[in-house]
Amino acid sequence: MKRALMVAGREFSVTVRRPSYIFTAFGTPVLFALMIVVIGFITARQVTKVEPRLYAVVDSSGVLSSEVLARLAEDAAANTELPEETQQTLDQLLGDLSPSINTLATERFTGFRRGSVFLMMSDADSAVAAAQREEIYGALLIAGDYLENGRVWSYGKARNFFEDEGPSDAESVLRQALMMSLVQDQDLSPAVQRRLLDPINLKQFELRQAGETAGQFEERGVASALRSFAFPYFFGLLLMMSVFMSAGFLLQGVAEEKENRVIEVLLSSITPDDLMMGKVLGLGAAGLLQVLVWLALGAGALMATSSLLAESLEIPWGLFVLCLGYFLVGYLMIASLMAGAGSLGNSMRESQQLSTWFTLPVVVPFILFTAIIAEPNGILARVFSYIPITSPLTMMLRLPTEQVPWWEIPLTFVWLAFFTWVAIRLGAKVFRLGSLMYGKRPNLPELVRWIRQA
Amino acid sequence: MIRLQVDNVTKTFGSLKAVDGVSLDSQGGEIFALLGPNGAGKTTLIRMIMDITRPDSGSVSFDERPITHELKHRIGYMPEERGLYRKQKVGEVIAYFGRLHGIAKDEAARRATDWLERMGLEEWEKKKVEELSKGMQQKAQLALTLLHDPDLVILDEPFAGLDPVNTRMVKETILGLRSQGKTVLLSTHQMAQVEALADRVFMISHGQRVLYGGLREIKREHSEGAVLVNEEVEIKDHPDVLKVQKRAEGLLTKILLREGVATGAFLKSLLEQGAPVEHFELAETPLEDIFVRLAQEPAHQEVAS
Repeated sequence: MKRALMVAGREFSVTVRRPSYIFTAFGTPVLFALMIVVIGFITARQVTKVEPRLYAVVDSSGVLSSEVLARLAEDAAANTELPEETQQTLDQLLGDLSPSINTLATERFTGFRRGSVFLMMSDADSAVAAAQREEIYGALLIAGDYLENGRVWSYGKARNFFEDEGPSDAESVLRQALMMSLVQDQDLSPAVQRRLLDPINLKQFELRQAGETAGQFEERGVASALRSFAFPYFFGLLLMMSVFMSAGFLLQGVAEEKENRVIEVLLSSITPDDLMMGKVLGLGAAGLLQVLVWLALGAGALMATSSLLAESLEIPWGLFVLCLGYFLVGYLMIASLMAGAGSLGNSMRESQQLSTWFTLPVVVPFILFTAIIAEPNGILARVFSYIPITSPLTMMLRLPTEQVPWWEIPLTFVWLAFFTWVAIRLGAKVFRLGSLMYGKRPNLPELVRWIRQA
Repeated sequence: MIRLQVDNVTKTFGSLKAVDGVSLDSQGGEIFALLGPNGAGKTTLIRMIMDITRPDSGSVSFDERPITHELKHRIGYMPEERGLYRKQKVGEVIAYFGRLHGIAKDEAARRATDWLERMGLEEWEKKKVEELSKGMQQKAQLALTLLHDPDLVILDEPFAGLDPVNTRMVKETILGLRSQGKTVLLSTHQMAQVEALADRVFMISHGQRVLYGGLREIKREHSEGAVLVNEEVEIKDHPDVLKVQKRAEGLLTKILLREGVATGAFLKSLLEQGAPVEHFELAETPLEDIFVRLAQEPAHQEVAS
């Protein structure tokens, strides 16, 4: 073990001093941050870029109250300030309206979201005709028998599915105006009117199943969402990223040592078990450090920008420790198997292909995330909990739901610990054989025979 | 001193018998040359001695005990293909391998500096391995092999790619090891070095031992049938003589004898004939000739032992 630690020390210190490592650890978050800034900038521009639009509204039912529309327009104007440019275009659009429309429009309500202007008209045909000429963006017609069937026709330009929601935006404004107008007519107190428009302001409380507050109700909110999703995600992602990071270093190291035959000198001074263990530990530490750097930078950035999240980030320590345990055991097991498989390749590429056999199954529970969370005690979740390779991640996902029977925790741990031990033995055996073998790769029966012999 | 015994070891890879019932015994304090054509099984044999590969049958023992992990720290092994971490500093790499052999950190660093100085590489201690020339890397590797002061040193082609100055340096290092009572297992294709250094010789061909014993004895055994005499000696129709090879003026004449003729008896007969014998010696076949002849022989027959 002492020698394994020496190997681990060397692997760690050599790896973290590699330019590629330093770049990945610090460069990637910087690149990522840059990407977010650029995307944010573009999105922000898109949001502020308001295209002024004219809609003709024809109310044959007489339900729509121009008082309500005026109030909505006022509120909208108070809350959103149109950029100068938009205002100018809007003015120009209104100025360019053909005289027929201009005279037909009885009232104008400007300043709605996205700078739309509602022109109240009495003649449906000329409104639709104007939309057809594309003089206005759309025409909204409220049926004469609106009170009976709620029918509204919307005429506008064809748009693709993901294109901006101009018309539906206008429709939602119309919906609100109609509701308010209907309520207003009923001679109700303002309080009742408000409640009719927004009847439920929901606060949910959940009975906690585990943890310090077990048996008590707790408000459902950011904290509970974080607990049930952030943690499994956090550790699951950590496990996968560490595995992939370290796997890269591990395979690179093994392939290099095989190529320049350092391996023979190494194996003449230490046992293959020590060598493999040292590699797994040292590179695991390097991979973990890298992931932690990312997380620290990410968390720092998150807390700097959103204090709400920082406040609600209350860490459930019991769960934290359990997840850490699954993480460590899972990593040891997978890395050992990968080191063994990787040692069979003759080149970095071949080794990588071989190790995919182990990296791929690790990810499977993540892909089936929702299925496992939805039914934490279902067949799928249970089966995955006892397949060694998928077990750590599955348990990490199941635990926060607080519905896992307590005895499954020690059971999976014992089972995983046993299998990890087997994986280390097996990995070391294959490693011992594979690292000295050059040329043709053994097929499966050959490999089994070897392992028996070794 | 450490005694190395290899007893009837066999190793098969698939259908190929890489090493086939090979034995050897070294009492220590000697330079033991391990010869054999390419692919004869040398590396496999060395790996089995190092316990990197396990034999299918037979055994390897040190001081009459099977190899243990602790014993490995009494062995220094320099493989044919030089293996050093290319991106690391020379001194660091050497000290690291010393530490793996159980030497304390400070002591390992001190010895690394010492050895690099001895090899004339003191200025390269802080340089990266990849900056070294091939010959320098080789010397650095030798330093790494000897850092933990092993009792058995296995050197695979230690002279490959070295200039005469470095060759001499390595040679002197090897002779120095012998004088300290260490065993050096020397695997090389350079017969001149074997003749200059080796006490005993072992040759493997087609996985089998074809030559084993003291260098002098082997050369004598394989040289029977030829003598060198001074050029003044004239041979005419001597019943024991097969062929006379007169060579350039001032050189000795080589006389090939018929099979079964003892050299002593031949000398006696020459003297009885009154030949002017001033010089008479056994014509030693160069080791290279012995090697080539044995390497070309088909498998399954042990020639000498």
